Amino acid sequence: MPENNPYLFLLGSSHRTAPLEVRESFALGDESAQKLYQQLKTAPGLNECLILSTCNRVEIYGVADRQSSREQFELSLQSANGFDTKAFLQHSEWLTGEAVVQHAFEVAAGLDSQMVGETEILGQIKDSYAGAADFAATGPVLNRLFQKSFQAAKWARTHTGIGRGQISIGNVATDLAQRVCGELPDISVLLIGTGEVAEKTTQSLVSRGVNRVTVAGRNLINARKLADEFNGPCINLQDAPRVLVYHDIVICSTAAPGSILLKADIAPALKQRPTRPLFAIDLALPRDIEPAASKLSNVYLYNLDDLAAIANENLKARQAEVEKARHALLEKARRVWEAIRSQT
Amino acid sequence: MSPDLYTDRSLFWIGSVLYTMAFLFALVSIKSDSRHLRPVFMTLLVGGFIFQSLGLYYRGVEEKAFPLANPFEILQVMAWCAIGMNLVLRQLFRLNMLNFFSAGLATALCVLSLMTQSWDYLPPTTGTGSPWVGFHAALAVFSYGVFGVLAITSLMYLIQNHGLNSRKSGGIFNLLPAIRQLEDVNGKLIMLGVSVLTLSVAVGFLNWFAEPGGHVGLLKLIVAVIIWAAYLALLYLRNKHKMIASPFARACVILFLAALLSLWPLMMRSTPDAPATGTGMLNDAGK
Repeated sequence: MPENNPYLFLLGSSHRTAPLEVRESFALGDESAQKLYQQLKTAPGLNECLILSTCNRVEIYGVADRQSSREQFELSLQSANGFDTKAFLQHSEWLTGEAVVQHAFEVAAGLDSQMVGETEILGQIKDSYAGAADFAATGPVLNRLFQKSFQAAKWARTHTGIGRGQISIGNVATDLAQRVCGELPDISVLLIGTGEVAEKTTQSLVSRGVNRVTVAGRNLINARKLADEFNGPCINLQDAPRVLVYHDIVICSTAAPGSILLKADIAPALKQRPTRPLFAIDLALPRDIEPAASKLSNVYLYNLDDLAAIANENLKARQAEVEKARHALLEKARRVWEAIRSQT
Repeated sequence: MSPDLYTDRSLFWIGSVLYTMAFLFALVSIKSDSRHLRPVFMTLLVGGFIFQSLGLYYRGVEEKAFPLANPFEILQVMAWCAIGMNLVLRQLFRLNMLNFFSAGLATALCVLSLMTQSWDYLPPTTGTGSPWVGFHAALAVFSYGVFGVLAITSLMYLIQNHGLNSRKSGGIFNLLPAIRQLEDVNGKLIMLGVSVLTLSVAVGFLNWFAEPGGHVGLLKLIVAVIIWAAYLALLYLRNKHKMIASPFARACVILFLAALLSLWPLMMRSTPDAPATGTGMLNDAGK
């Protein structure tokens, strides 16, 4: 039996091999991917293929019926339309056999992602797999490889700490909000200012169940636009302290030169709802909430540095788990590769 | 103290060992972040509760009353109430980690009760044998069980509050219930505990007036009234929003420890009795 039989290979480019401006040049949309599939179906000796295209990578997994060479496959790609083959080939890596299985496992588990342990990639691989199946581009080898990749990703997430803790500001804030307020559908958010980070943080809260968002802004047109995104009311910035009492989370992100929410504004609001805690997130620089407000009982005040410190700590913890996960996936990849070889 | 499998005391031993195992098991699974071990923890906890319930049942049959006749039984019943309430509250309020902390409290109470064999003496024969005395005692111990759970939720509040204020995340902090949930549950528990204890005190006083100077010493009376008054004051301060959040949680933990210590004078007796063997239960009851 030859070393690599069937001939499983991968030609791919990712954030590790190409900078963002280069990756932009060969990013594949749905239409371009379809064209490429049609092109590859006519490639000589190629039995199976799958194209994985995300913002961080373009990878082509293939199975050939004989010991094809990289040059042969690259020639097949040259004639592809709507795809910058030259840039892709200049910034790509070529893997074969067991290394492909191992790579697929690591990508699916999020070990090869820029944000280690992120889960979005698994959904993207599943979509790509479904897309390849629609074109009848996959066969017994790639089917087995990707089914096992999904299992491996699930295993790594359950048995190692690669997905532990949040690593984006929005998700860290959402985790903290759950520790302060509990069930998010029951709570109200007051968003003061229309800064991008604050908007993303609110989106993160909304994605986890928050459905009452009030936007306060100096510019009512911008505030209205943002409020419409969250199906909530908008108010003038000056009215924010007055409505604070009705909200459980306040997110501040204005360009004001000084504090716009003082301890003296928050204290009376808390008196009206003494047993309900207030989670205050200050994402502005200079800060919008007077730091002394954190001294108030039942107020949990976090600024940008606090959130970033937690995100960095979580990222470090995830990276410490990467080697453990990689080692375990290597073993699994070896077994799967042996099974694929013995099956064919 | 070698447990004999054919005595009710052995049932308490088995229950206590299972609580301890549940607590240690949960501790390990929290440290290693292995959530799939939860069914094992619940099996141990419920198993402990079943064995302890059986032990209390046989004691009840032996004494022809709810078993609250000596310090051993009182501590066992408190642990039993705490676990029983926790199993109900866990479902009602979806409070994470309550099981873990309750297992810890039950372990502490059971180990304390089993440590001193002299605490498990035969009940003194009462003059009246009034069922109201038993009712009063059962209510009082049940309220202590509620205050035990309140102390646990307060402790959880303090840990979560500390984590949030010191910017700590992950580990136990992500597993604990939210501040708002705990504040809400604390309010309900103090109301329930004080109501039950007030009823117990009222029944106790009616008995005391019916049989003045009977079997109740002055020290016992004073301590019981102080504990009741302290919890009543705490409830009043909370309802007036003069003591909420961390100060309230701290007060609940301290007061429960004081209440546990106060059990010593509350359980004081004039003459010692023979220790309960637990073997030949119905024969013991006939002595």
